[in-house]
Amino acid sequence: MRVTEQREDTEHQQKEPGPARTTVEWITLGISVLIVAAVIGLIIYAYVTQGSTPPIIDASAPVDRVRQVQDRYYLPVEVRNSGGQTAKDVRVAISLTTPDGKTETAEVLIDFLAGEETAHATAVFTRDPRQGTVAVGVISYLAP
Amino acid sequence: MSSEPVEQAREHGWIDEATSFGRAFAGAYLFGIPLLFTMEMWWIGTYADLWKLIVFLALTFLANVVLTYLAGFKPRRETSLIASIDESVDTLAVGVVASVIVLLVLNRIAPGDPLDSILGKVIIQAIPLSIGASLANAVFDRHEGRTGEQPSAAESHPWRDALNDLGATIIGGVFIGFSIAPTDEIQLLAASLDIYHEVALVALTLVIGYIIVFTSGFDPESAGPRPTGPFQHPITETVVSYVVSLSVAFWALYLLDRVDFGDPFPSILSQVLVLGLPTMVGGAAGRLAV
Repeated sequence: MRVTEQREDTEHQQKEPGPARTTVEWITLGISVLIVAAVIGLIIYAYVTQGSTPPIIDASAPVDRVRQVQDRYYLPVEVRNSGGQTAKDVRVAISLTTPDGKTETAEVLIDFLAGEETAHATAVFTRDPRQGTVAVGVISYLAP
Repeated sequence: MSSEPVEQAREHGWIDEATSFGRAFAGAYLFGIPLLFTMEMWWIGTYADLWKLIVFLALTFLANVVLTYLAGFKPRRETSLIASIDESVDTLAVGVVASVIVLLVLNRIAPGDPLDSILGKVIIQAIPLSIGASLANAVFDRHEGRTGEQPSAAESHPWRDALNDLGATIIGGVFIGFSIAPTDEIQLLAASLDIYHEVALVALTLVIGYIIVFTSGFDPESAGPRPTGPFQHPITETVVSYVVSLSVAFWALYLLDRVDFGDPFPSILSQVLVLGLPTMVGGAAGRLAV
């Protein structure tokens, strides 16, 4: 309230219109307009280029990039959403079947996976994935 | 308030403009810090529809027009709708830039991310930030203080001033630090930062702490006698208050069982640095209040 009252006082004191903008202010205003226009332009660009297709999620586990530390095997898992919309709580199951018939499973949960986004996870096994068969599959996701 | 408005206008050059924008950024971070540390805000940005982002921008702009009419961030020379619209474009841009900087430093956005996800996160956070920028004059004008008293030179004493500032920094830091320390965001952010992000975070925290305290001091309208003392040189005050803020952040995390002395040092360090940003902002706000 104090601010408004003082503002009115100031207005009474100077009846003549306020002074014109200085060059500096014109420049900063121009930069501001550019930034805001760029943001709006990018939104429109994203809107035009982004498909509104539902999530299309693929998962892969490149076995050749396994990392072994002591008796654990760290298998990188890449989960990509090539659709347009975001998927929430994406569940990916990774199972490893070794030649002796033993099966190990791992599960990855990704909070949010935007369209065109790739998430990197790691599955940890006690047996060497390079010696067995790895199956990777997306189980489910939620619409946000 | 503005006794010689015309004269001020003639002298309004780059330094005045930089000070005004410094004040705008200071107001933005003071107002927007809690929401920058809210993970739901990041999530909304990830999946918000693009048309909603346009609506958010438009509503924020309208709010800014009203708020810059009442407060604004530039030295007040004229109050008109056109001037408010001018300042609202500025504060919208300030909000966007402030949002991009913090989200980059906190590794919430990265150059390779999908465009709509980046836009969503930036615009959602730009809303509170630009509102803070629009309110900057109301927050930082020392003449608008509750008591309205100017500190007189006779009353100021170097060590007492230093102790006052120290106390205010701790109280402000505790106020913000303890309310953010228990949240999962701190650990989540800390885990995602590499060394480059941590260095950038330290630099950003120092710059934000500096502009919050000293943009108000540079304001020619509030050129009262500055307190003197070992804690008062701009750079010294900023660095000392950062050390104090980091200590407050550590104790907040320790007392709330988020870190322990046995934890690996890099993990403790990154959590303290992450919480150090809001604590620094709280401390700077505390020093402004006294």
